[in-house]
Amino acid sequence: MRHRFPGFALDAAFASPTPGVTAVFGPSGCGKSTLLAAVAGLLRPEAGRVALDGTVLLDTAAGVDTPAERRRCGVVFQDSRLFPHLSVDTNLRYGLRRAPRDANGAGFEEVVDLLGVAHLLSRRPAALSGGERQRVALGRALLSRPRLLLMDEPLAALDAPRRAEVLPFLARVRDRFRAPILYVTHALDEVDRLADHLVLMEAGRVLAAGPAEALSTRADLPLLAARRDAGALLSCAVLEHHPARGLTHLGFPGGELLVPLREDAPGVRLRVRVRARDVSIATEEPRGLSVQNVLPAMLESLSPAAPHEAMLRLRVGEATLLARVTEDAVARLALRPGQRLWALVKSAAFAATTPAQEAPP
Amino acid sequence: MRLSARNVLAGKVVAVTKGQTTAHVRIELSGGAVVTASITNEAVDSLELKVGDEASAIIKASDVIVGKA
Repeated sequence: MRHRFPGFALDAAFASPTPGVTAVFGPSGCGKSTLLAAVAGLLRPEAGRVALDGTVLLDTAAGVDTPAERRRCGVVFQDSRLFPHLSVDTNLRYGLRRAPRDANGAGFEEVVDLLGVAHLLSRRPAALSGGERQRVALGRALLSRPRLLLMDEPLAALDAPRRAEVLPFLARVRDRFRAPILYVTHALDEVDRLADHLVLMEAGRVLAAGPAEALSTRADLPLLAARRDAGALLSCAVLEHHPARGLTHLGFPGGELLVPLREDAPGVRLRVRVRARDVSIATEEPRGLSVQNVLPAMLESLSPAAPHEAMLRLRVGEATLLARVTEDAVARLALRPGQRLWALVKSAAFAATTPAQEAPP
Repeated sequence: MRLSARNVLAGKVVAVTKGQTTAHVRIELSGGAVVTASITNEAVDSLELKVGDEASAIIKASDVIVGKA
């Protein structure tokens, strides 16, 4: 896709797996919303091609440009864009009216139930909280039985408690429906929670694209690695709770983590961000430390990070972790690639980064 | 012990307060300053930490915030 505005050029290409959630992540003004608008058919790019599971929606070279209303994209914007003079019920049924007659998809009751809006049906949008409005907007999009859901920073206008309220509903939509989701955001916690695939954008270009977990351990992507919350995303399963110890055991391929006690049932899959700044290194097996997670690791590589800091890539079982340490520590411990080490992560550090408990259905 | 953490502050445990899962451990350094650590209750138990013990607060350099007096 190529498009120019005065002072800005979009030149981006990527492919996403379907079904699945692809997050398009980048700072404000990087072109991610322009890209989404072009996929939706709300903006015609100078040059571009958009295909969904083999159906070409746009191909400027071949003269294909399916009108927005026939692309069957359900769009959710930052501001819910509900009809202010209509009730929640009528707003939702508007989505249903837009669905093609032969389209399969969620029914009215199912969507109302999934999004927890049954008690709001008679209200007007003005009488809803910001989070409720976004849930209704999501419902309206779902009821149009889209082949693709497009979300343009759907949580960006909400305060932190409202964001936390709506996020589990987005996760439920992802889990319940097969429609692929293109999700534009500049919030990393939304990526952690929702995204399978990640497209990193900066200044109109795609810096990198791939599975979210793989990109999280790339030390060469400052957009991620230079952040204070930079770190590896680990796909974990709840193994066992130890209520008396106040701890939960999580398993990841080739290793285990102890985190503060959680309420998820054993077997539930969680994605955990192990922040690079929370990882320390020992060159001999440590004793007498309060740190609960002492993981045998192999140092894969070192790269310069912030001034006087280094980012270490560590192999732990089949997983990769990042650790941010001072250059002084690298010199004192004579760290070098190939070295056997111990990666130390205190359990209490996970209190801030493990995902919130899913809302009960 | 060979650790990457740059700051190892030796002192004496002056308080151990357990919470639901996390405990706060206060360590008084020789100069009289007190450092508080937030660690799991289990870590308190496995180290058998109690008031009066000699212990060190270990802090990654990147976790230290500086405020100018």
